[in-house]
Amino acid sequence: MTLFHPEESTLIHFLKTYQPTPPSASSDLEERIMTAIDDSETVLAELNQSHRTSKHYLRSLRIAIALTAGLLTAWIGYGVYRPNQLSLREQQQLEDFIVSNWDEVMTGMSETEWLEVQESWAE
Amino acid sequence: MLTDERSDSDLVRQCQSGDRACFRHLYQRYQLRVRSTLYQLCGGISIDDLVQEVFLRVWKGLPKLRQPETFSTWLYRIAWNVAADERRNFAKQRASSSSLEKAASVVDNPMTSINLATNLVNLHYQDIVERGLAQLSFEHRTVLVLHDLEDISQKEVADIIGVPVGTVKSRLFHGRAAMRKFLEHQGVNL
Repeated sequence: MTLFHPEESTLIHFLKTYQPTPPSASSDLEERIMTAIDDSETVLAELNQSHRTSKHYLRSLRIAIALTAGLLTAWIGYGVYRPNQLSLREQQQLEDFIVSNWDEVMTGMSETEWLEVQESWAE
Repeated sequence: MLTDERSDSDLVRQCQSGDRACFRHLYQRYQLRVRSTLYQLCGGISIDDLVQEVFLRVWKGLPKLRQPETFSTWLYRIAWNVAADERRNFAKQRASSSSLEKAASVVDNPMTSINLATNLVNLHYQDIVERGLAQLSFEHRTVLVLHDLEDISQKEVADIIGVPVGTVKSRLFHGRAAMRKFLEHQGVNL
C-alpha cells in the first residue's frame, strides 16, 4: 500500500472524483467483439488449413525433387563410371593376345622344366 | 451481465483451451477499467473501436501468456500499447479536432447533458481535470492515470509501460506537479 503525502492525497482524491467519465459503450460492443473473435478464428483456421496444404505440397515437392535428383545422379554416374565397351577389333586383339600368351606358356615350358627351374633357383 | 467467481488465472487457462464463454467473463470483468483507461489516455474518439482492438489483441495473445496470474498487468500493457498506437496515428488529427469532439460529446451524451443540468460545478471540475490530463505529456498522463486513477501499484505500472520503478516515481512526481499547477491556474486550490 502506497502512503501519500496529505497534499498528494487531496490531489488524487480530487482527480478521482472528477475524472472524466467515458461515454457508455454501444449496446452491441460485446457481441461485436465476440463476433470479431469468431471471424479471426475462422480466418486463422483457413490460414492454418492453407498452411497445412502448402506444407503437404512442399513435402511432396521435396520428395519428387529428391527422387529426380537421385535418378539423375545414378544415370549420370552410370554413364561416367561404366567401363568402356571394347570394339570388336579390340576384343579380337585381346583374345588373340591371351591365346598366344597361353600357348607360349603351355608350349614353351613343360611342367617338369618348370620344376627344374624352381630347383635350380632353390640351390 | 454474467458473474463468475473464478480467479483470473482459472479463466485465462480456460480461454487458452479455447473457451470463449470464459473470455466473455474476462471481458465483463475488465471492460470498464480498460475503457476508462483508454478514455483518459486517448479521449472519446472511437473509444469502442479501441476497446475492441484491446480485447481482440488479448484473445489472440492469450495462448502465449505463460503466467496467467499476471493477466491484469498484461491486459493493461496491451491497453497502453493500443493507446500509444492510437496517439501516434492520430496525434495531429486530435490536436485539430479535440475541442470540437469534446463539444460534440457533451451535447451527444445524454448522461453528460443531465449532469450539465443538475450539477454545473461537477461538470466544470470534470472539464478542468480532462483538460489538465490532456495538457500533460503522454508519459506523465499514463502514470497518473494508471497509478492515481486506476489504483495500480508503481511496480505494476513499471511492468506495464516497461520502465524502471524509479522512472515511474519521477514521472508521477512531475505529472502531479504539472497537474497541480494547472489546477491552480484554473482557480482550484487543493
